[in-house]
Amino acid sequence: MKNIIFIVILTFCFKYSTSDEIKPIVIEQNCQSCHGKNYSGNKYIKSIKDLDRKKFVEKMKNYKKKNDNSVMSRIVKVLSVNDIEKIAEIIYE
Amino acid sequence: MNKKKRFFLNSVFKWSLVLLLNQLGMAKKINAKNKPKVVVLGAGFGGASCISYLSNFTDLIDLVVIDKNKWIKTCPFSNLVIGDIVNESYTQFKPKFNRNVKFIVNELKYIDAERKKILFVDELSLDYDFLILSPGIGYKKKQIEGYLVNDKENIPHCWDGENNIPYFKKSLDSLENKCKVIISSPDYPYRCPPAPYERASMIANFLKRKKIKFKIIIFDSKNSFTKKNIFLKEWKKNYGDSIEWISKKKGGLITKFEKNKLINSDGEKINGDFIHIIPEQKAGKIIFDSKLCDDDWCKINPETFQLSIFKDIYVVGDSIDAGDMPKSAFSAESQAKILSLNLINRILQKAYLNPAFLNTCYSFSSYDRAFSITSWYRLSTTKDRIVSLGSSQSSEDGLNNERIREAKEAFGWYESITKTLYG
Repeated sequence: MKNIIFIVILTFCFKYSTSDEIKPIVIEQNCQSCHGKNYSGNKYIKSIKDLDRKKFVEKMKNYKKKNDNSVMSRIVKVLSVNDIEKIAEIIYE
Repeated sequence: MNKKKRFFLNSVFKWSLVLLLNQLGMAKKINAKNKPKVVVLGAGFGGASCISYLSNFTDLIDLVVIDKNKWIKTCPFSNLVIGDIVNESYTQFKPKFNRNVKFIVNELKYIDAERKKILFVDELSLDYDFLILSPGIGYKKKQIEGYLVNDKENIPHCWDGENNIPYFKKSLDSLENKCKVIISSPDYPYRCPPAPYERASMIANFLKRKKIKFKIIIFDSKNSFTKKNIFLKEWKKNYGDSIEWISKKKGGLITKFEKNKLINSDGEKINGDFIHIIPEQKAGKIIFDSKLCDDDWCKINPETFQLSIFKDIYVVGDSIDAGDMPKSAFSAESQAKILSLNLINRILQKAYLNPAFLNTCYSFSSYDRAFSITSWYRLSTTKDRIVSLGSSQSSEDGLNNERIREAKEAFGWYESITKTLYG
């Protein structure tokens, strides 16, 4: 009986536990705020879908390097190259 | 069979049984007849973002959205309506939600959290399994002495997307040459930290277009404010000495309101032709009417946005204490995505995702100039607070093309998000 209770508690904890890692999808969701649900942009903001994946990664890396203090540079600075690659994977899957 | 083997097989059997029972439980929930009902209250940016995400899961949940208005008026860009930069119709939307989403236009009276029931003012009611509240802001009872938030004699505050902007603009339009506009700005926290200063800029833009001389004085209950140095420089560049800011320590704290007159904490009497008080704020009225919160702002679990006392009620946006995150539409939308992802994870009995949030607050200083502040956020190590990873803002001495570019980006954000949320 004790075993069953222990297993049930463990199962419950596992199901509702959170890993400390931030999944790329959580970051990627925020990109849609400005670039739109389908990344198609609008007359003020460029479409991401019009870029290919390689170009997208290159642009994001450039934003990370740049010191022009633009909104995109400020947003991308915090991301790692690995984050950028994984976001690209989601957008261009 | 030795003891170890028996124990191993016994454990495998128990685990399998537990997993099977879980799967059966999940299947029962996914069964069309037993779909959990998720009700979203409020179709502003927070609520509509939840709807936008959750409407991808209508095979799993029944989704209902309630708002008292058929047309949604957005608070973002309402300052630009005042500044005569966009028409009011630019900020109004008739939502085109997914056809599987039920949209109810009605006004709430009370949420019975114990019975999981919503009561409307017309005595109709609605049950829910999970309730998401995104009611925006309400107003504190205790305001500046003599000031009543809804007194029609006063200049309307226009802080919550209600119908008062035309009257506000009509009153501005009646001002004559050498007029004096007084703005009283509250202490934090309130909806959109830079908005009182953008409001001053937009009033200046309006009066400048009228080609009259004016003076705008902002009396502040704080000693500083977000993007202060950029605002001060932009005011000087666009409006000369027409906008003046007075900090709390220099007499900015207003303590009393009389008709056409304010009195500050030093007892000084301040006259004006247009007195605009931005009221002290707290969580949306329905939260207090339903006794869901004891403090000014709702305490939530920042990983899930559940209320601590009622685990099936979620709150998002301006009504919550979001730690370091400001009360902004951008924040509300970012929070809503995490809330929705983790609500679906809860229903599917999957592990919660560790949140990350983003906020960018744009402010306009004139019709084609804007600047911004940006920050990423995540949970504190104790997971009970949202903390900033460090904010960064536009350059204080930004070139004209930078300000113009950011104004375009602000329009870009607004048009993308409203298209996503309202179709």
